[in-house]
Amino acid sequence: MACSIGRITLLVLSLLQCAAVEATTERSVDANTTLWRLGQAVRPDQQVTMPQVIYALWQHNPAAFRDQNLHYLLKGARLKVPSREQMLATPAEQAHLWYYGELAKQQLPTRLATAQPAKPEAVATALGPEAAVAVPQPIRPAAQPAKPVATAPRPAPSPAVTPAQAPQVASGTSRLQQELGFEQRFFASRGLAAAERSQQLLSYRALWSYEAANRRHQLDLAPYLRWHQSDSDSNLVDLQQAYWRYIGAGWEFKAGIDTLFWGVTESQHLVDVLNQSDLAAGVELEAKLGQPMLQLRRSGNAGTLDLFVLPYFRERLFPSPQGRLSPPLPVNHDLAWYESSSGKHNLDFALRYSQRFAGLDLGLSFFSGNNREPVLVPTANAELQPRYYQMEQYGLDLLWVQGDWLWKLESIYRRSGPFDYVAATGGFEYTRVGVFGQSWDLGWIAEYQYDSRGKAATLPGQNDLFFGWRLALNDIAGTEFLFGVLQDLDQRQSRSIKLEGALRLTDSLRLSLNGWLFQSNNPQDALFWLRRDDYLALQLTYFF
Amino acid sequence: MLKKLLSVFWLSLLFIPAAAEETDLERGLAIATEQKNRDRGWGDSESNMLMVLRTAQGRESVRRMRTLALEVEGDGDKSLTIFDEPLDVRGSAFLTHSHPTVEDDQWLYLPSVRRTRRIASRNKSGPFMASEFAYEDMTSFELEKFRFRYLGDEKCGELTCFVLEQIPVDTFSGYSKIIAWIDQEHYRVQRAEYFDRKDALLKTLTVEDYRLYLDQYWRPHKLTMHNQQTGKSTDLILESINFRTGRTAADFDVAALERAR
Repeated sequence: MACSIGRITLLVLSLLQCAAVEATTERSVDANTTLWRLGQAVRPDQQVTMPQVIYALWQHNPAAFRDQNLHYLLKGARLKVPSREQMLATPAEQAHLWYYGELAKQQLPTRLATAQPAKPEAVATALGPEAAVAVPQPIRPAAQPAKPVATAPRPAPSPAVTPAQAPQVASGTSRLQQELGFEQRFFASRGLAAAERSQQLLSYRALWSYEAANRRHQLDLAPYLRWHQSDSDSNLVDLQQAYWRYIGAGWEFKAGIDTLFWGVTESQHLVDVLNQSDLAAGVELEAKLGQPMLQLRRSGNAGTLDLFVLPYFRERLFPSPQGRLSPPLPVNHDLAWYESSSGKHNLDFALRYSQRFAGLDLGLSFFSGNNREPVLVPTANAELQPRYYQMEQYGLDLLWVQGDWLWKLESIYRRSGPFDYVAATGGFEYTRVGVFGQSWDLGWIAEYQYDSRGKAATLPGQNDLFFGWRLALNDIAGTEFLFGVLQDLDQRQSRSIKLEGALRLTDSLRLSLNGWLFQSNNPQDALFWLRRDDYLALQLTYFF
Repeated sequence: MLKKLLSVFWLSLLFIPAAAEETDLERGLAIATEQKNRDRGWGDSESNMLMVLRTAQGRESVRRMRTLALEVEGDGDKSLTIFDEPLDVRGSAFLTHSHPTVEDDQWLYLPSVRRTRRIASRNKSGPFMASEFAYEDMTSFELEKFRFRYLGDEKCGELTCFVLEQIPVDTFSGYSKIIAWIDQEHYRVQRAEYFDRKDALLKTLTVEDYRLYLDQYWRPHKLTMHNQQTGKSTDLILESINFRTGRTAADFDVAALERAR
């Protein structure tokens, strides 16, 4: 009795072992099996691509497919699961191309198949409905060296059968989008330099992008041109983007010019220091100049790490007093002074790490190099000299999603020339959907701005409170408005008010409105020099 | 003895209405589970979509977009939508990581400022691209999002359908309930009625032109949503769809959003 129990136990144990072995090395095909599902189940990790898994399964199990055709997985077949090394033996790119070729072959039969009675021995197919056309003279995959591109293509089917089955040469996709803008600005008064009350601007922007068929290579080219009717200092020819990017598994590399954004807050962007600001485009400091860079990105479960090497510096653009919305004196770029002996060619370096924890997004950044923000020093000739000090900045940005609330914080510690300070912007954005009985969204924004330099701060936000409302009508015209007030808490008389609005006139024409009021009676205040530059701008943009 | 057995039998009959109630819920869940199970294993897809927005007066306006989708086992699916038309929003990309029980994670990439914004997504009852489809209509179908009840069988065109009541679990849903007609042969939604929070009929959905992919998955090529309260309607037309194009989770990462083109 004891013996038989022992035997049964042994039997059970050996059965269990068998099961365990089978789970790792063999898979059988039943009516619910598809090659893709099977592939998903045996894929060892994310480093191995699905085409590599599928190719290895196909290559190592010639008997499991009728006529070695990927689309005919035989019912009852037992598939050997190749090792991770065997899967990786075929370069991901080749497996990908092969897989695409197979996929292209089954595009047409998708519709024919419903009219065809199912072949009895072929079960749920790997890549799609079984091909309605018999595949002539298949090559035995296992007998061939692991070069899917060279070996896998089968003789092209005769055109009489189905022309759509001819092998498709995978080519990349390119896109081009362009926009032409006309802006009319109306100023409330003639301003400090007795400039004109009306200004016109023309701008052109394009984005041409190319993506290779294997989606590994990407090219972007984005020129931007601007012409200002009364201020040549505001004219601009710029490349916002002009780069090549290579996308690997878990990493990517970029070389060229790009424009990037870091940060989370609405009223001020402290952390965002990679690109130079384009002040001539507007006082919002939203517009930037393209920055030459090399970027290496590593991303995975532990977060995303970006390393930047920035070999060339772009000077900040200022409008002249004639162009308005400017410093009180003209900025003479010929007098530009650099703390770095390499000047514009100083090798700047930056790093950013970002990670998500459920509802929390975290960003940590570091920058070392030429400060993008110059100190403007008046000269004897009634000009301003821009001084670019070296800068080291440590940045933190946090965003926390809580239901309809977004909580935001940006904070920096910056050491640059005469300054050594901490600044922060923090607040919330709360959005209500379906307000006033309409399908409108109304967002409430409140942010506090702090700068440890106090009144010596070079930007308006040193102890300020921003309130804003964002209204989206969710209509066909895409109508939206933003109204905001930035109030200085130290000086009651210092505030700026902005209004933005936009709506679509046709599918390729958008009208936007942009207005600012500046109020200040303190000459120490950065806003003081804008106090006569209240304006309203209408912009018409044509997209093509 | 026989008498005793009989009385037990009669007693048990008394409980049948309650049991039937239970069965309708169970059967509803069973139908929904089968519907979900039949749609497992598709992997990933790339599709081109067209939306025709129609006002009550019949004025039309067109939206075009491309959507990449990734099936996620054990969680909600991921999707990335890139807008092509109208031209002023061209290049904007909308990323969703949906979850069955907690709020979805959503981001919007705006190419004009090259900025990725996180979107607070608790309330998904708002319109998607000014259409009659709400954001919640566009997210992946998950069993955990509803309570189901089987209401009966009905003819739907040439097919016979299960009539299924779906009550959203999420209190922020714009609907009090959805009644769906699901055909018994392939478990495909043929039409649906959406009721607003006041329990009045809000929208009706008709689903047409189902086509079979990968020999297993049915995809409708035309969905029409009629707003019964405003007279507006939207056609959502699936122009093309490809499965298993080799997309992985890395393509649906937030860090990859800015390279969507």
